[in-house]
Amino acid sequence: MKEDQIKKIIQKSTVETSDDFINTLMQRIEAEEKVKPTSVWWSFRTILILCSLLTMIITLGVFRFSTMGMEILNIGGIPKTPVFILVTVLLLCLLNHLIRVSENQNSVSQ
Amino acid sequence: MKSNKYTEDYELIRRCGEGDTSAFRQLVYKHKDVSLSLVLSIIKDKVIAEDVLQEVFIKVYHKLHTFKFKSSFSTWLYRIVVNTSYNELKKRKDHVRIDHIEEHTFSLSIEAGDRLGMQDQKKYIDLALLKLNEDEALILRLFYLCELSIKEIEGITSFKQSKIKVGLHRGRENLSFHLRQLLGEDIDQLL
Repeated sequence: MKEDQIKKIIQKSTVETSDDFINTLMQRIEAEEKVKPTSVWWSFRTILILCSLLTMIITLGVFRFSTMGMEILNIGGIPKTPVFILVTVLLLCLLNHLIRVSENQNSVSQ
Repeated sequence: MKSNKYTEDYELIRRCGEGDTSAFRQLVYKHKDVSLSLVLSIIKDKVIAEDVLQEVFIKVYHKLHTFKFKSSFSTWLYRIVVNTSYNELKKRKDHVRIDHIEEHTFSLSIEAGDRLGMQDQKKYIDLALLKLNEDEALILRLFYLCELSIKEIEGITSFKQSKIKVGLHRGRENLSFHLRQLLGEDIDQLL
């Protein structure tokens, strides 16, 4: 088949969209614009990173003070394993909560 | 000097920037059918292709302010169309097979000597294009339907020029082969 014949054939191959394509598109755009964008300071990732950092700092601090045996804080006698378990459980609960909040937010915006 | 076709799109984009949604509607109306044809070259299913095209135009709506007015709007749009379609294809590992489409979407049969109407011609051409692999179908449509040069196609698809030339050659041969298989001697009715 010659090139100009192929061209003629392919130029007949334009596919038309459904009748309500543009209306559906504009409705979707309007719906997206109505959803209030989440502030960067309260976005899921920011909170997750901040909480993880804070938890790590606090955990590190508690262990550091406990090994230093500071009399003012008087936490040298606190057993390390239960504190570690408590902090880990709290961290996991917090992460679970944040993930659920994020999932809910995503399902609402969709 | 930009062509009149360019300036018309540029004017619509400027109006979109001023918040005129009717200008965006006009822009979509102008480019939707060719864009859908390009998506269909890759996705091979009209319903999914329309969904992908909706995503494309939503992206365009949000990114329109980044358009530089240095190239044609259609080239910029087709780049988004091609990228979004290939990403969607990657996501859909179980994408619809061509034989499935053939079975359900195109149940055409012609008797020898029947004249093909315009709609039937289009359907046979679409079916033959669906049988091509996505790269070949896309290259053929970009070259012959959108009338883009090999360099422009390279810019849109990131394919190497050698791949585009081979794709054009094989695409032409395969399209011709599939049309002959579908229509036999009646292929002349398409010309």
